[in-house]
Amino acid sequence: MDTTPEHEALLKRARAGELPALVELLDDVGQEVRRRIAHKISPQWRALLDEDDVMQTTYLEAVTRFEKFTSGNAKDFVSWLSRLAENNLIDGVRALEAAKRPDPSKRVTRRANATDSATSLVTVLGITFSTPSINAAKGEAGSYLLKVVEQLPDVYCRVVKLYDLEGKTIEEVAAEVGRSPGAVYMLRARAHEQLKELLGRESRYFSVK
Amino acid sequence: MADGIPDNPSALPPEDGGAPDAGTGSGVGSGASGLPSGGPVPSGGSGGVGGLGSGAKPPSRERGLIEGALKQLGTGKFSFSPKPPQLAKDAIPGYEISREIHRGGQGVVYQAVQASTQKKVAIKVMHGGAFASATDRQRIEREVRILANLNHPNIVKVYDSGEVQGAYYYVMDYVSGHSLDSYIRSGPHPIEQTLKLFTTICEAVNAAHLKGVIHRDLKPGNIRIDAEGSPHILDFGLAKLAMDETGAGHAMTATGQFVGSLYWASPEQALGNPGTIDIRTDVYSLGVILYQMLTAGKFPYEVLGNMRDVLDNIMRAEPARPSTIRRQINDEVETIVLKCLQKERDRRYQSAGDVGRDIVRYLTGEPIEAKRESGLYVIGKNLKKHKGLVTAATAIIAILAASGVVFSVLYASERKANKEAIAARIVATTEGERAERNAKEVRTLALTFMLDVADKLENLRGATKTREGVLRTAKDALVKLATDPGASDDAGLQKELADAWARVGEIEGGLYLPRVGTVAASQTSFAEARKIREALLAKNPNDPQLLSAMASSRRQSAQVLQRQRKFDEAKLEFEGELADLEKAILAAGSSKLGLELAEKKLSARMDLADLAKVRAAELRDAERSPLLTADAMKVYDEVEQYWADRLKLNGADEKAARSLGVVRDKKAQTQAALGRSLMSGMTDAAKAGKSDEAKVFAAKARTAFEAARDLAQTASTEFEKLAADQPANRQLKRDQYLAVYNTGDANMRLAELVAEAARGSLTGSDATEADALNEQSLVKFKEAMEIADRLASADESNLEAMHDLGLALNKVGNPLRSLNRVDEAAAIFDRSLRLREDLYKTDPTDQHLKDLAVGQYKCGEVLEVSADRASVARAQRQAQMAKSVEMYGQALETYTRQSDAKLEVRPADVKLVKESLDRAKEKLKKLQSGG
Repeated sequence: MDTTPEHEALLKRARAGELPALVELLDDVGQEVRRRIAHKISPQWRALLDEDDVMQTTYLEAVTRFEKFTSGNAKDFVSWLSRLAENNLIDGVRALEAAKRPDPSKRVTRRANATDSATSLVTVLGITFSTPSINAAKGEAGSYLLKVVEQLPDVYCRVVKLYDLEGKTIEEVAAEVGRSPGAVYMLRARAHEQLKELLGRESRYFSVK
Repeated sequence: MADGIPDNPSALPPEDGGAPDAGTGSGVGSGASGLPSGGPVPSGGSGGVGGLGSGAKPPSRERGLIEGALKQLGTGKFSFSPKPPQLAKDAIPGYEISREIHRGGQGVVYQAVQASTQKKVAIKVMHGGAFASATDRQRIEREVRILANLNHPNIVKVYDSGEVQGAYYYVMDYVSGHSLDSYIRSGPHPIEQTLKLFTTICEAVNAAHLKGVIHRDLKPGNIRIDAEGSPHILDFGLAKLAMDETGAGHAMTATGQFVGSLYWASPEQALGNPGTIDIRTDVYSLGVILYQMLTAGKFPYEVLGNMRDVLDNIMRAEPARPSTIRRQINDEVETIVLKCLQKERDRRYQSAGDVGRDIVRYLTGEPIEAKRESGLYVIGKNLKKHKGLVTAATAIIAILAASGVVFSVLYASERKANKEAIAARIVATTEGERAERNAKEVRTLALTFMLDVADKLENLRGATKTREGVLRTAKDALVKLATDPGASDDAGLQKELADAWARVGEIEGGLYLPRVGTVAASQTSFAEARKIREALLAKNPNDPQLLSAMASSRRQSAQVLQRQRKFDEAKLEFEGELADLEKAILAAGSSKLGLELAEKKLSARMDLADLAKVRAAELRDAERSPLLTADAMKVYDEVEQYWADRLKLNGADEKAARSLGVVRDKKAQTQAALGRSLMSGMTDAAKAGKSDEAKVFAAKARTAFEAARDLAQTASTEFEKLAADQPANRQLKRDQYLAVYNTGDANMRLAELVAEAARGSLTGSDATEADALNEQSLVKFKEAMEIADRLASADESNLEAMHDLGLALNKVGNPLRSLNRVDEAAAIFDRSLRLREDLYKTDPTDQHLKDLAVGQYKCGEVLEVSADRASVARAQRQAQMAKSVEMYGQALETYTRQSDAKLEVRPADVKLVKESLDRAKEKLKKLQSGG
């Protein structure tokens, strides 16, 4: 895609903190990104995941993650956005495929107790501060995790709560948030990514937090 | 059963001219986010979601989605802020913040200047909030005061702390330089240099221990190396801040949460038992760090995968010996590392000071204090690990004790005291049996039982040591049996002895078994079997059984010779095998034995055809190779017909089904060998300007490669079906591996042919076809790699599977490189090389040495390609080119070693390596001079 000086100007304004400029830029280049991913959704998944799902999750990610796009011009921005979209698509498709053959260890089981679910979520996220004992991860880790989940953007927060903590099915979550199952998988993948960052990937000193 | 190995799969590919530019890659399929890692999503602050204020354009489909997305962010929670929040320059009284150094999950580190001293400092601001309380803060402050008293030149001093904007911070020395992490990544460094650096780290840790402070979170990321190369340990004792106020938890929170980084955690930390943390916990982490420093970052056990597996590995997995990763690591250094990594604290060094002192002893040439684990301890551990073996081992010990053999065999290397104690115990338990000693039982045991045990343990991961022990015992027992009075006149015993020696040879160095010995050892055992058989045959020259046994001996010897690339000698042996079998068939007449021998003869003819095929591939000569492959194909066609007829008669004949697959795969390999030879002819003709001749060669080569691909594909489908029916049959899985591998190989060769023909202007350029073929070969090679990986993982002593894995890895690297996925290719070649280094160390055969040379060359080549990329920073290109020169140099050295050992080396390979080395040196010079 050929970018224009107008795109560069919008990017500059977005970097200066103008959200409307970013929205306009996304609006302009979104079509190109859509074109790049369109043929990558196989017919078997189209009923559960369409281009709009991918694009909307990508826009959401682009806005919340814009700080990560630290350098580069408008053309680089299109590439960056395309990568976000492709990664969303991959996560969505992988999850749909995995759902055909669910791995019990990867699914947070239905539990009434939110702390127990949080403990499982810690395991799903692979956060290294956990302990081998499930008991040990209750309480402190659980309550901390819940606080962090609340910090996520609304839609991420809802998906994590409904699916990971309350143990609802993907179809139930999809109905509640008004998105397709594929979109929910994508949102969950992004939510987990942000959660991991918020929680820290390596050692943590809980009491110092 | 001879199955054939991939046809010369490790030979160097022809240089394909020109290094491709870096491909950026789409990121599809990588699964990575493609985003730089960073801090949390900002919250609070100015800005907001609302008020987009763009009404000029008509609402588009994208606009609708964007606005929908913004609504989903939630009001009040998200603010658009393109930059993460930064502390103002003067946010912390007494310090002027200069810049942000690092932003991680735990907090943000700033560089600052202390106003009063103008000294550079680092300020770590912890992420705020969730757990900070007044008590926490008081405790932190008190701990910081303690830490401030840790005066050691190699410990980063913490001397101030406080609170800024609701977050806790502490101020420490600023150390310019780099982290030990990057030092490790740039390794491996010379062992002595590494050990000296590590000694300083030990001294610093010891100094803290002496003041009663335990680190609990030692890891390379917490150690910085300054400009002078001195290490400085960071965050010392801060882990302790996490402990609860009164508890003995130390490294644990009140809930038993361990504080520290998982990969470097000790077994007691992984276990989550707070009461067991002491300075030996740091010793363990030091062990992991030293392991990484010596092996360029490898961990002692698998740390990928889910957390439970990692914890389990920390608690239970035996560390891989570092010398298997880097063979320059000698016994003493290895002993020191492994002593640090003992799971039981009492078996470790008891302090960091002890570790440092032992290393100094080593560096100054004094004997180290750490001792290898005793043989008895190792046997005990193995037996404990494999409970099922205890019974068998006990039986062996008991029965051998009765025959009076045991002490000189099993425990010869043990200390006298141990030996005597064990002797007393066994004698006591076997006294009664001694009286009833039964010579026949002992003979059965020595001749078959122990070998059965060794065979039964074949698939048991980690059973190698036990198998070695059993085999050693068996060999000693065979020697003793042979020297028994009257043994030489006992023809029955002699036959059994010969069979037993042949089995020992197979277990030690057989082609298709997980080996527990070397090829040299197996040759000795085979020779022993052959000597006995020759003596027996001299007395009964027309005995069909003896002739058949002699033929087997010749075959074993021929296969070893073939592996050593001694083709002429191997051919003589195979022909001898055939002659013996023909004599045996004549002697056996039309008996059942006659039929068995006829099938054996068929197999012997296949062996000769295999040899012709391998020679054709080695020669890669457009004139001579087709003659050899035609001979081989003729035999294979006959054999194929035989098995096809058998299968027609009985559709459930598993042997026939497998043999059909095997022979088809062999035909595929032969066609590929033919294709490569014809391709060489094409290149030579094109170089000589004989364009028409070159085109004919190109067309013939294409036909051969396509036939190879189709045959291999057919065979792989057949094996897949057979393997699905017999999932425990590893041989069928390996058959499948070979066929899949050969399918990939044929596609790769076709891709090379297409590219080469285009380069020689024999055809129009068709990059699309070459790319598609490379993609197809990549899929197949990955599939083969996965099969080999599974077989290798099932038993790490399975050298054949390891060898297969090395081949498959290299093959995966080839199309990746051709497809411009250079970084992925480099990682794959590196993994293959490490595996091959390990293989050669374990089993120094000629073939493994050759594989090693190819592995080194491949790494050099991909590094050169990588360094040629204009898009990469010059410093990085220079480093890569230097490494490429080093790898090419190593490859040349390995070839020289082969020549010195009078092994067969293809001059073209050596020439190619030399040219590559010279070219890379030249490029390096240019890069260094800024050209």
